[in-house]
Amino acid sequence: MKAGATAPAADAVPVTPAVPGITACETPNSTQDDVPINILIVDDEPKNLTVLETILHNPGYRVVRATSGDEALLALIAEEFALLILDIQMPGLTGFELAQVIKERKKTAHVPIIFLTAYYNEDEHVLAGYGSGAVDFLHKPVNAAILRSKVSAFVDLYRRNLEFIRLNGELVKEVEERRQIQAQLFELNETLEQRVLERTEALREKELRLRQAADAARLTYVETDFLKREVRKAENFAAVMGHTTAAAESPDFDNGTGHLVWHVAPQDRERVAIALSQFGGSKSNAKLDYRVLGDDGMERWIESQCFVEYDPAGNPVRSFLTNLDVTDRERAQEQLRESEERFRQLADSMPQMVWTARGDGYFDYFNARWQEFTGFTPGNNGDPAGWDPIIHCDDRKNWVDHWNASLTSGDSFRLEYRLWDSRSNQYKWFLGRAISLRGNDGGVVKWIGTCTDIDEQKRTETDLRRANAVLEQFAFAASHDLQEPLRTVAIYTQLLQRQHGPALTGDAGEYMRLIVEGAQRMRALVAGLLDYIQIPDSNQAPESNVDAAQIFDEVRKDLNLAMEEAGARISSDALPTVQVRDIHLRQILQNLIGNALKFRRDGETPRIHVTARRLDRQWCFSVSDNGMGIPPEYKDHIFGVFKRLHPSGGKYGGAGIGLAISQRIVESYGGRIWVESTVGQGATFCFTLPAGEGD
Amino acid sequence: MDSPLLIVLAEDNPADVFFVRSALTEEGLDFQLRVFSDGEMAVRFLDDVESGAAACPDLFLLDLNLPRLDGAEVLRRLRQVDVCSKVPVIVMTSSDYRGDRERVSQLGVELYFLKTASLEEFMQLGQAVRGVLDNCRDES
Repeated sequence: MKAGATAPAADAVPVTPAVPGITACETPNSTQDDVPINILIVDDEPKNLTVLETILHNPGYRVVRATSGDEALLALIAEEFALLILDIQMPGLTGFELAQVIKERKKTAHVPIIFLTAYYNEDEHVLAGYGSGAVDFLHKPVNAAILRSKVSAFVDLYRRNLEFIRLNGELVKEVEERRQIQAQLFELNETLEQRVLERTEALREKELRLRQAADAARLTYVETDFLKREVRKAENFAAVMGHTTAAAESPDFDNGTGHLVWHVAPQDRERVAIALSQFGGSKSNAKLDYRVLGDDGMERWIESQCFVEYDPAGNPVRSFLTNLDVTDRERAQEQLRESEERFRQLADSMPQMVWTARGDGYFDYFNARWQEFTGFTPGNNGDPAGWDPIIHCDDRKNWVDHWNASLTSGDSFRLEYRLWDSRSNQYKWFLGRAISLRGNDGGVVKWIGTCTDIDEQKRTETDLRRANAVLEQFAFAASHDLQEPLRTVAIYTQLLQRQHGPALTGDAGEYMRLIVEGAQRMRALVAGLLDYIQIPDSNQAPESNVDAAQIFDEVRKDLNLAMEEAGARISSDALPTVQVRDIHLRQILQNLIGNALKFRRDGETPRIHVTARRLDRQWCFSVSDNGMGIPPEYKDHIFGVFKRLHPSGGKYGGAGIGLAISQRIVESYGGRIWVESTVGQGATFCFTLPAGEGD
Repeated sequence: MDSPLLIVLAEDNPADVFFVRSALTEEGLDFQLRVFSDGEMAVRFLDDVESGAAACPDLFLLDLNLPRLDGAEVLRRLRQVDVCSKVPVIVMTSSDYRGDRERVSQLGVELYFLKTASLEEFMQLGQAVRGVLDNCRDES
């Protein structure tokens, strides 16, 4: 017996053996209606099988024949059957035994069996059959209809079972999917929770920091919820307001301001209350400054700002009031004010006129003196032209130019100009000065200026200059016009003498001599006076290094005649260079040496010696002679103008101005001149002059 | 020379005028002296010279200190007159004021004569004049 046509046709749908129970596996994806259900019929008699086949002919069934128990087992192993129709009487393995075996096998245990028995109603057989797991009995000959009906039922059952399994499989699959999703969700959820945790932590930290910052800045707030009628204060509210120990009144809902006012220092309460009541009204974010008196007794300044949220109808929904401790700022401002006040007091008490300007030149302050003097504060503070009414028109352009130059460069300003004195109704000379103050970036931030009254000085200067000019003119005139008549007198008397001298008798000659002498003396006096006045001649050479030795030689040459007449000897040591005008040194030496010659002792060979010795930055010259000397009581007298020790006429005559001139010259160089002398022995005149440069 | 020298003297001090005349005479010069006692008259004379109404002098004696226009002004005017471009000028002054010298040195001066109180020195004016005239004749 070979296995029946159990091998499935080549194009049949492959069927995966389904394991009973719940397992997730692939089930045939075609519907059960399409696939023919396998029915196994087992009978050792092929005729019977054929009969059965015919009875069970149905497109939905696929009947598989087996003629022995073994065949049947093989078939069962190879395929899935919905039903077994078993002939009990078979050689070898009986139907019952086969059923037992089938039932024993797990794989085939569930297949329903219909026993076909020839024996009619033998209880023994039936019991044995049920005992072996049969499901039904049918007697041979089989009633076709009944068989068909029973088969149909079992097939249905089988189909349903398959369906059930398939559905179950799908369910299992779905459940599995669901479970996976659930697992993922769970994971996700865990991750999410983790993140939320982290975020919460981060937020908490931020909040903490914010709070710390607010605390450090001493910033706090109050939130009022108009809908919920709630007032929420920040944690640091009491601390910032300075009231940590006292029990604050519990916040009463009255726009949230009542408790705020409680904190305010008494002197500001009314003002604050009024302002707060207006907060809700205006939509602008106004600031309110007021004082609070802390528990520690310290006064602090608080700045409040209110932000109100409105609903479309214009009713307040929420308000947010911030309080910032601005005590430091207020203190700083107060100090600044005090400092400015002190400056102002100082500036106003000064006798000088003081003003300040911004870095851009805008004049922002004039002290009391300034305003008293000018009678007003210049308008148009940014424009120097604002000073126009009070600056002399001749000085205006100069002033504007100089001021603009200073503004540009930042260099200090200095200028003399005339300002109108409103009290005395005249222009006065002032020295205007200003210095710049620079900021950290190096730019000018402020100008501080003063105006100093130099009017008197200036007038004195002007007067002096005028006086000098007058003097100069006088000297010029004097040098010509004063001398002219004298010259004429001198010349004509000489002419007279020459032409008519011998004819003059008696005292006429003496008279003439005296006339001439008078005229000459007059000339000498005028000349001496002019010398003494020493009008500075701009044409003269300026001070320079003058070689005293050279000047000495020149003077010696000039006086050569007089020296020869007197039989005098003159000598000198090495003489240095001095920082003077050459004519001045010449004048002095001429005068002193001339005097030494004139005031010689009778019967003595006049000896004159000139030396010099160093004294710090000066040279001390001495002109010594062996002449008649000077009584000590006249040591200073002789330096006076027109002062003489001898009669004007005669051999010791003279204008009496030479020493005065020398003294004036020496003193104009910061030096000194004096005499040391012993009557009858000689005199030494000493004078000091500045040493030459580089000496 | 046949015709006498025409010498113009600008001087306001009559004493000095007399003296100049004396000095020139003593020197033995044959001359005609024309005197202007102030600067304005001297300049008017120069106008005449320029227009041809007057002859150009052979010598100019010019005191610096004159009434109205001073000697320097006269000299300046003189130098503007072309016909007188070669006329020698002797400037006289009573003081050796450096400023005076410098004021006129630019304008071309033959001699700077100092009027002293010494008769001797003053009389040397005659010699000085002769010397200057000789120089001019040599050059021309």
